[in-house]
Amino acid sequence: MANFKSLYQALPLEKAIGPDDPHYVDYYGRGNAYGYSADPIAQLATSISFSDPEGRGLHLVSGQRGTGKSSELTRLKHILEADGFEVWFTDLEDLFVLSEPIEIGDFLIGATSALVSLGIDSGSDFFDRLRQFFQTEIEVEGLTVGADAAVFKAELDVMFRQNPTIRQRVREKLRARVDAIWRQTADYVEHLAASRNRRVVWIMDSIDRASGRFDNAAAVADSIVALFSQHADKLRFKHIDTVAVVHPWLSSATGAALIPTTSTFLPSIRVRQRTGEVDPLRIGLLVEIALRREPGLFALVERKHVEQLALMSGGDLREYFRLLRSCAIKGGAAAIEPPVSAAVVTDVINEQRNAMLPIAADELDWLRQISTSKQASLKTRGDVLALARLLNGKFVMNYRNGDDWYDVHPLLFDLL
Amino acid sequence: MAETDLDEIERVVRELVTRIEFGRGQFHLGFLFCEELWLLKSIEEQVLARAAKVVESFKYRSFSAFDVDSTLAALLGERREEDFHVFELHDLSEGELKQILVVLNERRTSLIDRIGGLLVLSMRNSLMGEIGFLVPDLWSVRSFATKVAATQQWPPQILPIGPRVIELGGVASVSVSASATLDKRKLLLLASHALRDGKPVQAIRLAREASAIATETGDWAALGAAADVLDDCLDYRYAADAYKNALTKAPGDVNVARWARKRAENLIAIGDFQEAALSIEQARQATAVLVADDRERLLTEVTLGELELWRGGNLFERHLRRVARKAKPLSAAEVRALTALAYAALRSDLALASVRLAEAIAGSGLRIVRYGATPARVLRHAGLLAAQTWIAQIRNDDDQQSAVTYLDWAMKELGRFPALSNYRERLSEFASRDAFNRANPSAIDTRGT
Repeated sequence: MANFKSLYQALPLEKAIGPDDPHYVDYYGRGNAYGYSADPIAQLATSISFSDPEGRGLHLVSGQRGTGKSSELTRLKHILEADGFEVWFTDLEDLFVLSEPIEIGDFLIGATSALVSLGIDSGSDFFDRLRQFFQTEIEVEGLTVGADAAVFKAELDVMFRQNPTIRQRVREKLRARVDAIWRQTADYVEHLAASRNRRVVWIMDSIDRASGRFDNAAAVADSIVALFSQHADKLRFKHIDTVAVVHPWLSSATGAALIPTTSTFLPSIRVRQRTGEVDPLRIGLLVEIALRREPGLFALVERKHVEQLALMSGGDLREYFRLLRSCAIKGGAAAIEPPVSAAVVTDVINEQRNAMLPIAADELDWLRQISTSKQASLKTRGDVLALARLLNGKFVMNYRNGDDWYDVHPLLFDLL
Repeated sequence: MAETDLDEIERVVRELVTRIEFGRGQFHLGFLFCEELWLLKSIEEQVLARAAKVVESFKYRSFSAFDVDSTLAALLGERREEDFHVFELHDLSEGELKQILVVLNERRTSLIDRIGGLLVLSMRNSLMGEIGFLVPDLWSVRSFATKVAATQQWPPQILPIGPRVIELGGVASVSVSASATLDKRKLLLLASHALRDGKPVQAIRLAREASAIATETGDWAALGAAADVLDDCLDYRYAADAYKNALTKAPGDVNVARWARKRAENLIAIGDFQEAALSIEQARQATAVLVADDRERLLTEVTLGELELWRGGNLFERHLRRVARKAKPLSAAEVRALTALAYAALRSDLALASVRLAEAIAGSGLRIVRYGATPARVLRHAGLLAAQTWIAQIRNDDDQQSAVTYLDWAMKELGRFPALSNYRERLSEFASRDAFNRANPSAIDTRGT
């Protein structure tokens, strides 16, 4: 029987679920029912399938946090595997210090190391050659090359994560030898892909989590732009289609310098039309997503309130879950007889709003502008970072129907 | 304290307890913004007292921008199953705080994988409104973010009216009703605040009163909590009696092992070694059902080591070393071992060896002691500082200024608590002996080794 505890537990915020999970709602796949004209993930899978069998495709996926990217990438993996592909799924969070600029040299080594960690291959050839390279050509003070490939890989992994001094030294040395590192990496991964008896797709997740600190955000953003503009060709491998999960602002920052094979955007679920009218289909979708998780939902939070919270979430799944979970906590803490009252729902909404405050005056001005124009007019490079900041903080939501448009998070409407 | 403060704390506490209950076994994350550290302490204490099945809270106070990697590595080395984790990030500059938060943000996946409970990141208000930008990945998976604020400063002048009146040394007149559970809690809360505000005599009165109400109303959990506050106040005799009462009346309580151990600690402090030994045996029996490396079991061994120490036996080091070997890095058990060794430093000619051992065992645990919450720990720290002072001076090294600073601080802290006048006297004795030693360095170098 549904209770506040079961509702809370049914809506975890940190776990992504895939199509195998009975709670998963394939809303893109059931497009028409929710007003979607196309399934971007199915389209991406088709594009990969139709692309050159020789590989070298570079497919970008982006979307704000909380839009279900991880779930959808899992679905992509399922579709591709069902279509006969072999999918390598690496999470770069494990390899990189995401608050520092990422350069092509360490990116290639780190990504390959993550690939080796999947266990498809021992990687001994690659790391042995790399070890020799470090030993003879770019000796780095303080870096132990070790007796064999395994020791060297372990040393590099630790170095990438834990030792900023050596990390910096390695970067400086690699800058002058980018082509050599690229050649070694490409030789290894292309040879590995060729040895598989199926076409290979390499999904590189979490590049979009590279965000820098308060003092180096611009440097990190610049490094990502450089990675995908100056060095985009070095991310294309023979026999492999690469899918990279990147920042939503990347395309506007790289401009013509980056021409990916495909670019897929996963928007927040659009709960309002650009004109401001509520979209009942998408509200219905959000309600169904929660109902799939907790069938007894309406006994705990009345339907009208679930719909109200769906609207206030701005279509951000995590925000929506958080609002519902807060209802469960307030209901449980006060030991009230369900369903929760309108006052509790209002309290929850106010609390979530308060958590986003205070907002600086200049940002409030920009939010007002976005709210009116539904556009984020980027005039300078600084604007890209400022937009990234607002998108990251979920002050601005990124939607798409036809073209991209922006709106202020509904929780902040009253402040405008 | 204004009633509204209590209401606010009560709300936050209830919601945290509910989150712990609802989310047991899952990672879930919250941000708590709080300018007054005593509010956070009150919240933590009440959550721990009320959450029905909290295994252990893990308060990680030792974060520093300089060792964040190693401290995180220690924390994330293995999955932690405690229900409630608080990272107190208050005592940091804004720069340090940002740096640490960014690292935590990077390690989001590790945090999710390694922490099976509620993690609260508690910090001052300065980053409110900024935090979502600064740590977007953590912010994205937060379960809640809330600000707790006091409406007025402690101490209060006016409190709710009720039948029971307690004099508070002329500072405030507290009235509470004798029956409501909340009133016991309020008294304990007030006692904790008084203690932190440097008013141990008031704190003792309030805690004793809470203990009496808890006994009258048969609320043994509250009695245990009152005993804990009395323990913090170093009110040894009353604390021992309150623990004994709780142990007698609620022998099946989940806290029995801890109560028995704490009773033994208080009995050791007043020199009742025979009764202390019996209480330690009770604690050992209660912990026998626990896994070998359970924290409570280790702490019982520490207490046994302390008993040996004070009884003049020679087994204390063996016990303390045993604990230190078993204790997880940076755990509370290590800290206890360290502080026990500091006692040893204060009272024995083995001081040098003991403190060196303590430093070797505890490493950065020293910092945990420094940030330790309770006055009792602060006092133990004072003991450690005294020992460090002594060592620094024995070595006649360049750190004389630090030694003097340590000494001043230790004397000041010790002076606040009448029950510790003996420590103060001992420290004075050390200080004067050191003066002698400085004048005759060659006479001392061999003594400490």
